[in-house]
Amino acid sequence: MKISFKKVASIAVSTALVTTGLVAAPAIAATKNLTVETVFQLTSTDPARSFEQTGNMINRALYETLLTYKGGDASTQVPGIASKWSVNAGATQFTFTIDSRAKFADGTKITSADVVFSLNRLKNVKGNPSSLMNGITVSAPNASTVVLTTEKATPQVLAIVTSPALGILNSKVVKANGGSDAADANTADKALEFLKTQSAGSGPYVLSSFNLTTEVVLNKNTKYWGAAKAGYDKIIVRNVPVNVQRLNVIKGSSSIAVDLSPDQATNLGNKVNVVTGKASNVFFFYLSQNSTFSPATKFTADAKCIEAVRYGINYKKIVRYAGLGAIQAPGIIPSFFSGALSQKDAIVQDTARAKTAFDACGIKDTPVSIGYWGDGGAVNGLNFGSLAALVEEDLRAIGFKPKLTGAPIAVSLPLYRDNKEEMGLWLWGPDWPDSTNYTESFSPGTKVGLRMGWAAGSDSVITNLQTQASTETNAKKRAALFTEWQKEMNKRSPLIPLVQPAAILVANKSVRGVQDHPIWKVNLSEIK
Amino acid sequence: MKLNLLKSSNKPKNSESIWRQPLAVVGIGIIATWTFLAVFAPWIAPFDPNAQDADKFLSPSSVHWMGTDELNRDIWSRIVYGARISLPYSILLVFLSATLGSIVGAISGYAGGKVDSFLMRVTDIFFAFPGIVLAMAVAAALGPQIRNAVIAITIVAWPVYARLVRGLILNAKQNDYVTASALLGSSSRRTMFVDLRPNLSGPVFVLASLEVGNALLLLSGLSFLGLGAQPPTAEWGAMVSMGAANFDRWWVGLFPGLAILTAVLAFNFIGDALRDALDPRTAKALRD
Repeated sequence: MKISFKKVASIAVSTALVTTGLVAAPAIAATKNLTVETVFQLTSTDPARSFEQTGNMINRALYETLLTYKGGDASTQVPGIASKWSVNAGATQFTFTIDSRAKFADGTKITSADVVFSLNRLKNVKGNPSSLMNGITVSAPNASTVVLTTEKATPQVLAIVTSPALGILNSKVVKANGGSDAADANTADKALEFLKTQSAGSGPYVLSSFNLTTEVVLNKNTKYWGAAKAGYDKIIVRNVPVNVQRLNVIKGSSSIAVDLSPDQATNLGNKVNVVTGKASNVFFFYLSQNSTFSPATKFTADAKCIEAVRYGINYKKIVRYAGLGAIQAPGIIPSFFSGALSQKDAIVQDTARAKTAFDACGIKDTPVSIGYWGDGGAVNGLNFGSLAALVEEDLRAIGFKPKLTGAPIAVSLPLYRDNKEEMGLWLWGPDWPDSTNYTESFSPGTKVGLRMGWAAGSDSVITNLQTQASTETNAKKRAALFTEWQKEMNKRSPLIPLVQPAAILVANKSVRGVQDHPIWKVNLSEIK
Repeated sequence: MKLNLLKSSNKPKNSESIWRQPLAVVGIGIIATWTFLAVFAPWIAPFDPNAQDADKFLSPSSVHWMGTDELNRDIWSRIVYGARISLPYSILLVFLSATLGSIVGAISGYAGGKVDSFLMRVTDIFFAFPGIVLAMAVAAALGPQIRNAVIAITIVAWPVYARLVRGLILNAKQNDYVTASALLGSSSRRTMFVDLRPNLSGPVFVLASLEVGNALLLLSGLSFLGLGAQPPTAEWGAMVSMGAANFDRWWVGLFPGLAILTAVLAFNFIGDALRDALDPRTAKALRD
């Protein structure tokens, strides 16, 4: 057998290449990726304009706030960019000292000017989360100190500053890309598109790419200043339907499934953990009635009609549908927070009372429309359409003629927010982890109050309790006021709390540090 | 009389009786069964299709033949009642789109010139969009409910009829009997309805029968996406959607899926047979 020189040479070269490759391979470190799947509730990654759950989850990893929380806790603030803070006796002045080590991802040191810019920008762009800055003025006596001042006692400021919407941006970078914190920032600020292409924060991750409908990719911030470095080189947050989330996490093609219901979190095999956090029950579904929607019938403004709805609903059936870990929402403030009502205070279905009230309200055969997130919308695995069907059956049983009018979120949410729904089935998650978030959002004349056509001055008792609770600094007295406020709400408000679902996260067993949080759901920065 | 003789000579020859085609008989049998179930649903369905209960996701049993869904509604009862939505609405929207498309096509073909160009460019615009995407956009804009889904699909489906009818009219206009009719002083309306219409009925009917299956799929697709029937209405597409969200409970999506499959298949069998019977030239061309 004759072996040619060419053959010998090619074998030798091939062997050398393969050997070199094998030797060189270990020098290239494998990229450590984390894939998180959720149904996107996302508008942008601009902290001043993002107020949805997925946005909070992503921005919590990109931007840091003055204070924050660890793990699943939402009661004890820990240092963020601020290393120290103090509150005056009247709870009107909050002083924060910026950590001298804090720096942005580009290496720039964080100063009080960045904080002032970020918070004023949040206030003035008049985005959805701008209301967090209502009544708060921010100033900087020196480069490392920031003072937040309020006109009246506002003890919840310490909770508010933990919201990802109050994330601190690199003011020079953002200004250079069209950002503005001026009073006319709602028109002058042009940084939204820039902040979809790259981040300008100090978190353990930086934005790599942003797609509103498919995925958001985060890369490790190699210059992160804090102690808790990023656990992954890359985090991919994907927009995936709930059923596919389940399949992928079982197969191992994703690491965390965010939106499974208790029913879906069973029979998952032995490769995953089911994490039920402290923060379960922090969201609640409710039925709202718009007291100004229907001038012809005035149905939703009629106390008897509202009473008929309130006592006509089979809450136990709804809780059973919501599955293991879910509870009836006894009031508006979830069980996680100060002053929450107990289960013994919850409304109990009373069909006879509901029918009597229905007869007294006199709408008989008038159809009543109920709007909701209709194109398969689900949170915590609970489908809005199925919940609406449950409510529909109960209301029909006492004489109402309900008509379900679900629509895609892009259609239904504006209708609800613009006060154009007769009745609505919606969900509320806290903007900041404090009971005042609820009193300040659901009382007459407030954000949700107005969505229900419940104008300021409609109910002086409830408004007085709201005002007292927001300015009370004594914890016990605050809790009592919150409780009292809810009891009054349960008597006559046009809002009916339905259910607090269990919050469940499903994670691959190789992933550590997964905890459910009421504000940002998953703290991507803590996952290792 | 002469005109009638000429018209009769245009009728298709060698048409095959629909009853001699096994697949057509199977299709008619299936649709007859679904129609029977739909008409007599209140007596056939063992449970109220919207009745909810405490338990959920009961697997198929002697009580619930096809199991129950996440609100513990009996799936068999919902499928039976779902036939009252899926079948008539599919036929209705085919009727609407065939009527609309035929009118547009007839005007376009008969008028010719700028009217023809304009109407065909409009048709081209509708053809340019993927059907389901356009239907989704229209349904979302009008608001999700079954009536609007029918409107959306009608808007998507009419152009194919317009094209067909225009072509048939252009072809038929060349015939001597049409010219003779015009020379005898027939009005445009008479020419259209008396002389040309008989040439259109067969092909349009064949196309419509073939399109019912597609229409049912589109309608179910919109409901699957939440843009069609609203809860708690029992509708096959919406039921499959619930099955997809709970696919480890196989019965929730499988049975309504089979309902869609059998109905679509049956309509296609019937459509094929009608084509063979009424439009043998096309059928022969397809076979060859």
